[in-house]
Amino acid sequence: MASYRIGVDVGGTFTDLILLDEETGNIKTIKTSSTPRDPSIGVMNAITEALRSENGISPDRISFLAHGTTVTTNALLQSRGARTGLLLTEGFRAIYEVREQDRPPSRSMDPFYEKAPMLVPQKLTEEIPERTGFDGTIVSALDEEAVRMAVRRLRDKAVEAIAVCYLFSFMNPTNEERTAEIIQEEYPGCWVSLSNRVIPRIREYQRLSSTVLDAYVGPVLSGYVDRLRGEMEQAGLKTRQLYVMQSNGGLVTFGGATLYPCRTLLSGPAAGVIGGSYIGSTLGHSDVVSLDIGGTSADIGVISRGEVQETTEGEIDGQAISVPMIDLRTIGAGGGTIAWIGGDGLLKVGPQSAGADPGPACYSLSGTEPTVTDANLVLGYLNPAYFLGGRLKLDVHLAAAAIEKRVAAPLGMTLTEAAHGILKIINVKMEIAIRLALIEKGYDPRNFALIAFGGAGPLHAGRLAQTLHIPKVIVPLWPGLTSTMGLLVTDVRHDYLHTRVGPLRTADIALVNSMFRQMEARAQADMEREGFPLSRVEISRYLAMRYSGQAYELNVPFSQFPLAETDKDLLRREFDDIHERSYGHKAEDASVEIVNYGLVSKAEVPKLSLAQHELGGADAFITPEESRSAYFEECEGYAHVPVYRREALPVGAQFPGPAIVEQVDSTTVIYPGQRASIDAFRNLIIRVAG
Amino acid sequence: MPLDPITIEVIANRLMEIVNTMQHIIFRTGYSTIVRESKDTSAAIADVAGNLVGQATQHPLHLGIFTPTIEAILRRYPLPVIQEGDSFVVNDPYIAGSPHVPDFIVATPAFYHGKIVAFCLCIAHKPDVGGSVPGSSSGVATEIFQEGIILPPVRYYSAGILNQEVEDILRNNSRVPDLIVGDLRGQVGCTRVGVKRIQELCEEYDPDVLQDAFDEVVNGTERRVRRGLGAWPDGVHEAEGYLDHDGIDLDRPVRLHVVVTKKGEDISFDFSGSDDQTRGPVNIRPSLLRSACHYALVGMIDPTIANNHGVTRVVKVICRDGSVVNPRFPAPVNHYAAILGLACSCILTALGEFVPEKATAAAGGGSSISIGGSRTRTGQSYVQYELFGSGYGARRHSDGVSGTMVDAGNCKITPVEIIETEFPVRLNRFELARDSGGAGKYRGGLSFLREYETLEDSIFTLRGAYYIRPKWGIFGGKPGALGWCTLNPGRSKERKLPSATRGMDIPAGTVVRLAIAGAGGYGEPHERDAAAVLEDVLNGYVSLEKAREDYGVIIDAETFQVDVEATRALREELASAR
Repeated sequence: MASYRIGVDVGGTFTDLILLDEETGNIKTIKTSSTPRDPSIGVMNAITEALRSENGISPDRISFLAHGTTVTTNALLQSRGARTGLLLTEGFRAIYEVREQDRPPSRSMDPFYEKAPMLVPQKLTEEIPERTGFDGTIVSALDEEAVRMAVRRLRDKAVEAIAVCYLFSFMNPTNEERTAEIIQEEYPGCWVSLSNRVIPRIREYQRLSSTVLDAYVGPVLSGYVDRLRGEMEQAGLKTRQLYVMQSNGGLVTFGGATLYPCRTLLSGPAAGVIGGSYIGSTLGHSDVVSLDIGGTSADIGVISRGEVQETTEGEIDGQAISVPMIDLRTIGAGGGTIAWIGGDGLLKVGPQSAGADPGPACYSLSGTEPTVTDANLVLGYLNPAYFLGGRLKLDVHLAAAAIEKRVAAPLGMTLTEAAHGILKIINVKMEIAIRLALIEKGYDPRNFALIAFGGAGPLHAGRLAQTLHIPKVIVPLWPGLTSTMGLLVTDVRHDYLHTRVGPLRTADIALVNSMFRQMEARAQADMEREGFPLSRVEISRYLAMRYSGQAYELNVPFSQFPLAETDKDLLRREFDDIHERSYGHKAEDASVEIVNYGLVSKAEVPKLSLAQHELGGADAFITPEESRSAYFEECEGYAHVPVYRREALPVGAQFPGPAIVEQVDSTTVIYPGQRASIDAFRNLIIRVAG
Repeated sequence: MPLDPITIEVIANRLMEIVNTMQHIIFRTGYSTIVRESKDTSAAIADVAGNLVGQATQHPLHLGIFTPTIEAILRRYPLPVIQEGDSFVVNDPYIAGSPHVPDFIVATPAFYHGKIVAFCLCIAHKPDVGGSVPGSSSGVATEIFQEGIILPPVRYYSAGILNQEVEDILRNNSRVPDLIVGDLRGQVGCTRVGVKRIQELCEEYDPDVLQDAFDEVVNGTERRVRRGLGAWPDGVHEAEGYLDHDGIDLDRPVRLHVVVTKKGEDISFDFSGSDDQTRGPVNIRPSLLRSACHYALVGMIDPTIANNHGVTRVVKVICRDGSVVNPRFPAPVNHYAAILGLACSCILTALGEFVPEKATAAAGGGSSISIGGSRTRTGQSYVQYELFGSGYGARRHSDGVSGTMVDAGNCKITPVEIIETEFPVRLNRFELARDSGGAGKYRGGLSFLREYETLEDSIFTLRGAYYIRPKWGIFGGKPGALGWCTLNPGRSKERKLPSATRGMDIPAGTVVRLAIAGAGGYGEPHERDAAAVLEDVLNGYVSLEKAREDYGVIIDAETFQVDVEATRALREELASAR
């Protein structure tokens, strides 16, 4: 009997699902509206619809489900996380507010510098008498009564989550763990994040900030996952292989995800970058910018030489976080982004979004704020009768009225000028973000391709590529499903890390091997519990090392296992080489320390693969579905432009801009001077005049 | 053929990418906490003429120092004698642009097909290079010779080969030889990576194209600065400020004075009215004062303008010979940070007269400490050197930011967990200093307070500022709180220290508690929204007493409610008393 895999991705506006038949490789796609107040409803709607397709699929035939979610991200970006309290070691209130003390490089020259807001204000911060020393000894016992009083005060102030970060808890978690027990006694049900669990690493500020983020989004994610799992059980889904995409582009079980909520902050966008990278690779492009524009935000990722850029030190919305994640930029620019007039009397766009509900004014869901989608509709790029294939009728009069009232009238502009102004401003924001992601890293945009997806990516990509001098835009066959596709082209991945600092030369090799064996046993047990046969699990190992006296490590991977005494010289030389390659020098006379023992387990899962078609003649005959009036600067006004249906465009088709291509999940605009064609994978390729 | 704007833009950004990569490498490979935690280091690229073409702006104080350094190297080693694989090192504040003796600058030429096309540079603060106290920076030094070993420009590497004698001499002159040599090699490594990237740029673009692009990048910066200046009204404005003392003569304040003259697209900063050079180490070299001028001017015009030689072309700095801002050799300079911060505040105050909407109260006072001794846990000698921020002055429409490095300085705080792991000391407190932000309609930024307890006998050196004369507020705003440092507070051996000290022997178990001076406020305090005052009280930024005294807001100590009637009465009284 056939079994199926599901990828389901929740965006700000739509929930997308791909149903993959494991045997035939056939794909079925579903799109439903997102339900921001409880995204699990939209997910279940999509799953129900999927099960109803193909003449009905029994829910126990679903063997695997991977989920990309923005619940934590949106909670942070829209300041809708839990009201969070903080417990820290007595005397150390400044750790969170001073942060690292320096200004970020982009603001170092700015006498009018402002910090990003604190997620926990000082008035919800409580000091606890306790102290652990640098070597893990308890210098002062935890004052349990003080913890109780503090928790009661925070409870009276109605916090929903408590972050706990004590000094040196990564050396000895006793006081933090005991604090968690007391919190549960005093305030049962309150969410607790402990710094020694979130990120057991030295440097208190990064650990504290990550822990605060974890607590801030924890209740949001936990409630969500619980609800979703319950509903899936009710719907009859039996598979144990329920996964969430993590910020690092790998999958983690539902249960695992709630252990580390802050590791899902980039879940949705990570899936998009993985999907974009996959599409690029099928076309032989190893240098790609992925641009995912949804309802609330635009996410920009860079793939260079086929590698997705990763980091463990980053910031999300100005908040420091040090967990493994894909290196990407998110800005508040999407279809639902609201246009408004600022205090200085100038037009602003974003970062606030009308989301899916009430959504843009044209959705007729009582939204009155003008949005980017309203502007795209007024200018003729969107078809009011064919949005989502006609499932959502757009009301151009409501869009025009909103822009007229909130933008055009106050600024004394025409409706067209106002709508065009909204797009100009949102495009500049995205252009700057892409330029920062590319050129600041030393990449020349002229060598890159721009993969545009999400519902709104293809609307804007042609214009952005033009100003950024990116010669080629790729619009995938299902632009709205790229992130969802990313969920079905990545592996299940678990990272294990053990910290034990000591010199390499005198390391007990038997102990080293036994530490790796312990991690391997855990990895195997985790994979077996998730239903993967060990034959499909791939283990890789590395040692993180540094010269004695340095503070940061470099990972040295190795394949031989178990290690022998003689391997130490090889590892040492390998470390020297990596250090020289990375930093321009090596110190062969200095001693080398092992800091971390690392192990990564990967279970390969059958992946979706795109069908390739014969290229037809270059003159494949195409006729526009219709034509309509749309505004183009180059035409100095509205022009009649051909409108094509994406599914009707044959492989090999070619046509010039200006033109509009409509499909169920997106609309592509080809600007004057650009040329479009359909390639063998049925991607829409736009060549931008250099 | 003139370069197309895309190529210039790409090369400009590639330059910044190279500089940022160099910067990242020196942080990552650092051995001393002052490099790898405080990140007191900057990387830059200069063209073959020594003109700065790209610099990481992490530390504005390093903006003006590389040009005189390249000039010093080229004076001693003209281009024809420089070989591929050479790396130079220098730290002499009088010959080169080094701010003070512990700051070592490494320069490595980038050769392409046998010709020098650029210099890659890196400055990094060393934790100790000898001298009279651990950390080399005595608050009471009277000659530069007390501040550590002074190197003129010398070859550290010759044609790729380490010049072992130089390294041996340096090792022999430091309390922490392994750290300074490790950091120095890291500096060479970072410049070499920069050189490699420059060579890759030469492969991609012709070296001549590269030089043209360098010129255009510099011209672009000059244009942006001049255009910004052109939009300001012409005029002459001045400002002055005082340091407590020079560390030697504790009763005599030190005056800094600036006259800013702006005409058309030109501007000059004349410091001639400042006091004569001091016996103590609060003198500052002109290259560093230039950094302060660049920072304040670019910050006021547009902080996103790329820093390079283009700013230097616009900014004229006049420093009277023999004054505190242009001392004669061998005057000590190690405590330059105090007068540098004062200079930034004075310049910003004067510039605020040209653009009143950008007027800002004075930022709080940075300071630093070092604790040194002979016994770490591994039995080696150690130097714990820390650099502290404060808060920004309040400005139109907003409070000053609290707990941050300000103006020309931008070092990170050393993590508590790193300090305790590596040095025999424990921290007891690290908190924002309540009431340290100057009261005003908009409140000055708060500084912070730190308390240490030594676990071994050690030597403590303090270099603070504004213990007697606070940083000022504007438009009726009050000054920030004074800084202070107390040994053994509340114990029998309690002792208040002056803002700068010699190396003091402190036995194990000594408690050192210090607070940094806070920033000034903006506008009349009794015009501050009472709700904002209450919020400050709830957050612990302002005490109930100061809420009443400074702001005229009466808050019930039990219920934390504002007494609206009593507050109105008190505020009316305060307003009429003015």
